[in-house]
Order: sequence, then C-alpha cells, then structure tokens
Amino acid sequence: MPVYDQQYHPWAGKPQPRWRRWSVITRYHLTLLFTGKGRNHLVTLLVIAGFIHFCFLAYVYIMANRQILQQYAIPVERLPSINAQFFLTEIMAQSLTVALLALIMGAGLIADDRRDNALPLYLSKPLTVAEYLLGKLGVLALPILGVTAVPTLLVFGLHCLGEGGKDFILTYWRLPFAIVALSVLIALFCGTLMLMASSLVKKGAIAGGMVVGLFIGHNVLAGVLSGILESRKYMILSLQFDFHRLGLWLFGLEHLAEARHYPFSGSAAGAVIVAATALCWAILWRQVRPVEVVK
Amino acid sequence: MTLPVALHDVSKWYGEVLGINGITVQLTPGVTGLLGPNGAGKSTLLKVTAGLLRPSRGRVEIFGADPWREVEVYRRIGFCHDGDGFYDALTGADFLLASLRIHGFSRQRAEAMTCAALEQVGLADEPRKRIGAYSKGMRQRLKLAHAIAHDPEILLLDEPLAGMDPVGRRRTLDLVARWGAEGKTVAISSHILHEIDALTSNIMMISHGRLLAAGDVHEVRGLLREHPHQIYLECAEPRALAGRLIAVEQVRQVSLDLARRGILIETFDPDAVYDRLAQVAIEDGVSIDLMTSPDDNVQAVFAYLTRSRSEDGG
Repeated sequence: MPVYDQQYHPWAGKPQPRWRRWSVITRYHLTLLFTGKGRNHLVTLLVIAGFIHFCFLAYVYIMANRQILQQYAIPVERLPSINAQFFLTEIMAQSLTVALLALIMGAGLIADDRRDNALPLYLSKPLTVAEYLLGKLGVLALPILGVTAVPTLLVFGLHCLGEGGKDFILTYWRLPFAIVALSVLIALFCGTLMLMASSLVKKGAIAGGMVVGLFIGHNVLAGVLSGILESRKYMILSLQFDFHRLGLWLFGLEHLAEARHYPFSGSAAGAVIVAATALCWAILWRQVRPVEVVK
Repeated sequence: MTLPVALHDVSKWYGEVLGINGITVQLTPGVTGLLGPNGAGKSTLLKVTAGLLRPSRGRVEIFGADPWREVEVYRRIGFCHDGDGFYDALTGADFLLASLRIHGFSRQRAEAMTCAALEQVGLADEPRKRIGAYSKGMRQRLKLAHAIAHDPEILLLDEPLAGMDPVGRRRTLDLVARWGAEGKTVAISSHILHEIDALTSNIMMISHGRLLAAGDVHEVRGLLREHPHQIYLECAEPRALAGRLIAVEQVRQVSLDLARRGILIETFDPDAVYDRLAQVAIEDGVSIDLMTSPDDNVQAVFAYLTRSRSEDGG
C-alpha cells in the first residue's frame, strides 16, 4: 500500500442551506438574461407591464380625487368602482406580458443546457434534479410575480392607505391572499409549461413555438368540442378560461354574471390548472437527466 | 477503512447497446489511468462512477454511499466531463464562483477557492475574460478548474487532455500527478496510452465495455503468460553475447539487430534471464550500453490484451 502525503485539507466547514444553492441558478440566469442580447425585449416588456399597472394606479388616484373629474363634468357614479373585480382585472390584464415574458425568458432555459451538454455541470454537484428545476423555475416565476402580484398588491395597499381606508380592508381582507394565490398559480403554471417545452428540445425557438402551438391548440380543441358536442362544459379544457374562472372564485366574485357564464366551478378550474402543472412537472422530471442517453 | 470508490458488478446498457458489462473494481488514492479505445466504455464507466448515470445492474459506492441517490457525496467528487458546455457570456471566474456557490460555499470562501483553482490550471492571468473568447485548450483547463475548485477527494477526469497543446498537456499531467501524490483518488481516462504510461503505472483497461485488466501495469504484464517478455539490450559485441544467451534455458528466442548493435530476447521467465544476463556480462566482460523491456508498458500490455480478446472472440 503506497504512502501518500496528505498535504491537502478538504474543507470541513458547514455548507450553506440547500435553498441558497439552487437560488444561485436563478440569480445567475437572471443576470445573464438582463445582460444578454434579449435585454432590450425584456426591458420593453417590463415597461409595458409597468405602464398597465400605472394606469390602474392612476385610476385609483383619480377615484380618490373625484373632484378633478367633476370639474370636467365626467359622471363619476357611472365609472366602475374599485373593488375585487378591479384587482382581478388588473392581474388578468397582464396575461399577454406574462406569456411573452415566459416565452422570451424561458424558451432556452433547459434547451440551451441540453444543446451545450451542460446538465452534467449542474448535476455533478450536491444538487438534485428537483433543485435544478426549482432554480430554473425561479428565473420565470420571479419576473412573473413581479408583474402580477407585487404591483397589484402595491396598488391595493395604496388604495387602502388612500380612499379605501379601514372599511375597504375589512370588506376585502381576502383580496391580498387571492392576489398572491392567483399570481403564484399563474407563475407556477407558465413557468412549468415553458420549462417542460424547453426540456423537450435543444433549441429555444422551437420550445417557444411549441408553447404557442399548445396555447392555440388547446383553446381550439376546447372550442371545437364545445361546438360539436353543444356543451359549454368543455370550455374547462381551456386554461385561459380556467384561470379567469379560478380568479372569480378566489376573489369572491361568484355572484357576478361572468362567473355564472361558466358551466364549471372555480375549484374545478383550479383542479384542471393544478393537474396541467403536475403533468408538465412529470414530463420535466422525466426529461431532465444528468446524462442524455441517445438510443 | 471505507474505500473511496468501489464498483460491484456494474453494468450499463443503453437500450440494447452495451455500455459497460459486469465491472468490479476499486480505486484507491493515487492516479489510476483508465484506458481503452474510443467507444470502449470509459466515459460510461466514469459517469456511472460519478453518479450521473444509474447502473443497469450492480452497485457503485463512493465512500460507502450511492452517488446516484445521495447527492451530498458530490461534495467529495470532482468530475471533468467530456462535453464542452459552458455559459459563454460568463467569465471563467464567474463560472467557477457560481459553481462553488451551488456547492454551498459562502461568497467569500468561494472567491478564494476560485482564485486558487484558476491559479492551479494557469488561468489566473485572465480571470475576467469571457468564456466565449477562450481557446479550446483554455476551455479544457477551465473544466479542470471546475472539477478541482471545491477541493474534492476524488477526481474523475474524462479525457482532460483532449484539445490541449503539448505545453498544456505537460502541465495538466504534472497537475494530475501532484493531486495523486497528495493522496487524492484520481481516475483519468485517455485513449492516448503513452501519456498515461508517463503518468502512472496503475491502470484499468477496458474494451467493448469489459474490464480487461486492473492494477499495476508491470504486474498485469507478468500475468500475461501466453506472451513472452521482451528484453532489448545494446552492447559492443552483440553476436558474442547473443551466442551465450541462446544457451540459457529460459531464453525462448534471440534476435539480432546489427545496425543498432542490439539484441532482442524473448523469455517466459524474465527474472531468471536478468540474473543470468548479469552473470554472463560479468564473466565475459561485456559492457551493456542499454537495456529496456519494450513490452513492459501500457501500450504493449493493452495491445496484448485486446489481441487476446479479439482472438478469443473468434
């Protein structure tokens, strides 16, 4: 048995918590995205998202200062009041920016790693596949929450501080939870769907095309089934409607005609969304392996 | 004492294609050369050992733990894979820093380790250069830095010399030798046999997914009884010496190379021939200028083993 000089001393310190390890992936990817070629597109999208929220904020300001409108003889009583529906509309108004953010930021997240054979770089570290995926999901979830939950909560808070006051908080105490819950579900679903598409191919552009195709395809399917079978209940297959229906439920707007228009409940819509997210996650789980085996 | 690396009857199939088959081997501290032609299964063996591929059959243990299931064991493994996947927009230093942060090191500690790793592989002069601007050799060195940055006890290096210039190769081989001498368990794969020959005598040879031999190359050579050992020597009077040697019972054959004044002896008992050769040289006053054993090296052993195997196979 040879004798070796044990000159090296392996580090014996305590490693940082696991969440801090996978958050490195999120952090570095966000840095790369905002310093890379697509930076201008992202900034433009964020400015558009910010402008939409600014419009809502401006509305809150104007409603708090109705005398301005009255000076111009605008019938204030006919304008929509600020209530749960107002905040649901604020979130749903971001649908397009959320979809574009997911497409621009997420299309290459795993596809590029697969193309460059970079998965072993991640998975030869003390990092599980789930943690790798969480790190990647964070890249999409954080900006999506940044354009949905965060500004909507801000507008809600400012309204409460201004005209709304204590009464508004007492009436709509569940709104902040609903805003967070709906935004988290949107972020999780969009993030997982985009990652799933990205994990199936080696080119981000193809992944983006797949998601657009899926989005259009499933809506067409829901419409065709509803038409052929003459039943609106098949609209539950459209995730776009599901999110709206779920939003109505979470925001306590079941009494509205909009809610009754749907022949399925909010919880059923939520179940479809959760099932779709779980399916995407399962495919992701199957696709992401340290070493790609070509058979 | 728990072995750093132990493989027990490990096989890996890719569908119907055989990657490695029934490999049982142990790696101990020091450098082990993993040799085999292209497609022999070297990369598969290293990936299975590193826990990046799940074995179809058998068991892999890294310090007693299963690397496929227990990711914490990766803290003790440095893997230099055969791919070339990097984030070209990052600098070499940023790439290593991110890698070390994923390993769980604090920023301060990770920065110090990044500098040390870049220094070791000779990339410290250009820490701010983007990886996209790296040459092939620099990318290879960055891969090495990535494998050693977290100071692992086990290093699994898959073709780390590919694409390097001669100076880079020399430097890398020196580094690998140093890591081995420090007591790390290093497995380095290559199909360029003489490079491994110069680095270590401890080898693993695989071909068609099967382990042909493992251990000290000279001991492996000694076990190849169907192939006579060759002893080559050069002296002033080759004819006379050849005449004396042919009479030695253990000598199977003697060939003369008069142009170089050389004699090639073939024997199945080299120790006896060495003893007798010394006696004859002293008795006859023959001055031997050079004596080597041309087939007691990695290349010859590999050639014998693969030839035997193909002959066995039909």
